[in-house]
Amino acid sequence: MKRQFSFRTKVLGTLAIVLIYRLLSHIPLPGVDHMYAKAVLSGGSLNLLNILTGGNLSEMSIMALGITPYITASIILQLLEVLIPKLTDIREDGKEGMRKYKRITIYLAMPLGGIEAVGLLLRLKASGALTHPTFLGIAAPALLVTVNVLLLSLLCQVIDEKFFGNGTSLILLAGMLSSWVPDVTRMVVSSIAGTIPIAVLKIVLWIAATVLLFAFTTYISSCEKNIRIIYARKAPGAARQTGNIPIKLLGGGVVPIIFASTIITFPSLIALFFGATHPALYLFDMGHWFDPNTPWATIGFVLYLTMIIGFSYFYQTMSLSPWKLSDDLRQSGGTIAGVRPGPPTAEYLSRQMKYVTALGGIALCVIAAAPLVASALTHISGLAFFGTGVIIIVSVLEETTKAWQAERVGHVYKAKGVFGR
Amino acid sequence: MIKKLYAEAKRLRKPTRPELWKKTGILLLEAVLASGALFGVDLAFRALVGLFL
Repeated sequence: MKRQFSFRTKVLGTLAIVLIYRLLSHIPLPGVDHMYAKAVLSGGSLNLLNILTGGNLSEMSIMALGITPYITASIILQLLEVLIPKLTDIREDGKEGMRKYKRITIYLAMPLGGIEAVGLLLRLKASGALTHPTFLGIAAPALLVTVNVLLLSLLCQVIDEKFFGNGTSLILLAGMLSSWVPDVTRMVVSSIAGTIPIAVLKIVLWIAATVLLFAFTTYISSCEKNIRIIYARKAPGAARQTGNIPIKLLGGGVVPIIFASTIITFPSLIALFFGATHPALYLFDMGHWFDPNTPWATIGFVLYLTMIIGFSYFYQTMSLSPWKLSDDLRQSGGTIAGVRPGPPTAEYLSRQMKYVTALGGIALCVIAAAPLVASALTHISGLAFFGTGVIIIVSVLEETTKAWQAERVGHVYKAKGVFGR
Repeated sequence: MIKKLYAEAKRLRKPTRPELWKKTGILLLEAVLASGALFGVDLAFRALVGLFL
């Protein structure tokens, strides 16, 4: 029989894994001139990767790629589900199926991590940031980075299965939050360079913008549409039971933004790794959007917003199928008032979801676009993904708080012997 | 389409203003505390790694 950990052990286990990740993040990758590498790997199309890895990429630690190859692998796998329905069957086949699905994700993340690591080191070699620019000088660090991708993916799986919370989300959150204090310090120092009143005004504006973005993200993540369900009477004369199906405005959370940003920055990332330059690549480089010298590159921004809305639909359909929902309702004896069970219910749900998802997609676009526009207007680099960062932080904190409350309730019931020990 | 979206937006269940600010405050506090704790942990680990490497 599988051993069940107590609530305290689960929380301590998760904390221990996050600490291991942070410790490994500070071990420098051998064979790299770190000062020079930081200059090469900061800003531009690597901004998103730097945010998602908590700055490990520009620091070139052994955790340089963080959990990003695993995220890319899960995106590819979810897109492949459209072509290979067997993958959906595996994912939906209970706990064992989910474990198998995650294993497939890790198998895919490994070669992806390997390719990214080799690309990264080739880029550093071309810039002269490698201390030993030989075959072994590239292969050994690339292998080390890839092995650490595997280690981190496995640690995330351990958190998911044995401990508390969602491993991938918590590792992402830890990376992002760990760079907050240095980022704020840098921002304050750069503001102080001007006159005092302007510096104070800049800092106050920055704090106000952060609070407002947090509030807006919290607002849209709390919005939902409730569809009222009426259940059949269990006995003649008994009271009718009612319930709700909540359709969240951000059904896919931050996933559509991560999907869209990963895909939009992919061409310029590959070009950067292999030293290719072509003006057409500016379309995929957020640094060139809204640039008065390359106004046509802003088409990439429109493409980005379209992709966010498209992926919102894709992910909402994947996470909440109206046909499955309608089947589940029929089996539990529930109906939507004024709608016949079966296909009409599925069509009704699909119609409702369509509008809510469109609204959610537009809200995500506002969050993703506001910092991009602010970055273009103020010429402050690093702001571009500020919105993405905030939405990831808010989503993960909310998800973790809910999991915490659920675990606490389970723990209290167990302690009282309601469910048995 | 825009009219329908607007009507749909009005029908959504939204948090009240006190609920929203309470939730935002708690989330910001959690984020600030966690980032502070992680900064401390990072400083300690950086010193530890610097000691051995």
